[in-house]
Formats: sequence, C-alpha cells, structure tokens
Amino acid sequence: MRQLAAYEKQKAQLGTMGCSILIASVDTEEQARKVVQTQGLTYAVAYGCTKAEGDAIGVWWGNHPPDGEHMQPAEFLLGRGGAVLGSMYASGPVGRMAVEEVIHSIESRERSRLRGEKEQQQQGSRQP
Amino acid sequence: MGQKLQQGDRFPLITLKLLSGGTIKLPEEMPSRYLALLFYRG
Repeated sequence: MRQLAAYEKQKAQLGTMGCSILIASVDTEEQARKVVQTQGLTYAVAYGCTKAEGDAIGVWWGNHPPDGEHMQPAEFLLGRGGAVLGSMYASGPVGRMAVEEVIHSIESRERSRLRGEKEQQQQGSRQP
Repeated sequence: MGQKLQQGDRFPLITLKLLSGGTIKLPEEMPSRYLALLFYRG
C-alpha cells in the first residue's frame, strides 16, 4: 500500500506532466472503497478485475485461502494510443515501478519530443 | 497467465469498472497523454 501512497504524493507533479493515475484490483467495490478511504487516495480507482483481464495483460496470480485468488502486482506506463512505455511484473512483495522512475521517464521523453519538434521547425525555416 | 507486455507493445483492450461510476475502456479512452496504470494486490 506504500506504493499507492507514493503515487498520491506525486499526483500533482504527474498531472503537470500530462500523466494521470489509475489503479485496479480484483477487490469488490466495497473493498476498493475501503482502500481509498484508508489510504486517502484521490486518483481513479477500478475494482472487480477478472482473471480473463489479468491473463490479457500477463499478470501472475496469487492465492490466499480462504480469501481466494488475487492479481500479483503489475504496473505500466502507457503513452499515446496505449503504447506500453514501461512494464513491471511482480510475483510478490518485491519489485515495483517507483513513481520517481515514471517522472524521470516522462521528463526524458518530453525532452526528446521537444528537441525533435524544434529540429523540424528549424529545417522548415531553412527551406526556400 | 497470458503473455507479458513489453515496451513498444500496445496495451490490450480491457474495460475497467470505476469507483466513480461508469467504466473506462483502455487503451481507447486514455485520460491523458500518459497513464500510470497500477494493478495492485488488493
């Protein structure tokens, strides 16, 4: 749950970079609302993910009898059109996509994008 | 367990139910230029 709090803390900065946050799990609506409440989350939360959805994105599954099965963590940074810019799959508590890495990745991509646009403009202004 | 997604792949079509009401269809309905999408354990 520390991961969810870390993203909440950086939500404003991510927003200025054009990045929104969405979290999802197999939790019921009631369970998800409890997570929102206890963690003080203000970003978008989805609930009721199915195994078919988990399979579609390649997550590992865990089982905690008698509670049942759940998704193991999987985290993605998506760009335009749903392009995967980064992915992280965990099989347990070790390994997460740190919010600082997301910020760094977006900053780097935006620098490259702006550099490309500037070069295009310069080439355009040189043409007769 | 399906195939894992890597950099350069297109995110598959999934529809998620939102606590705020309604659904979001990914990747069609990207809410912004970038999206940090976290599937957590629950």
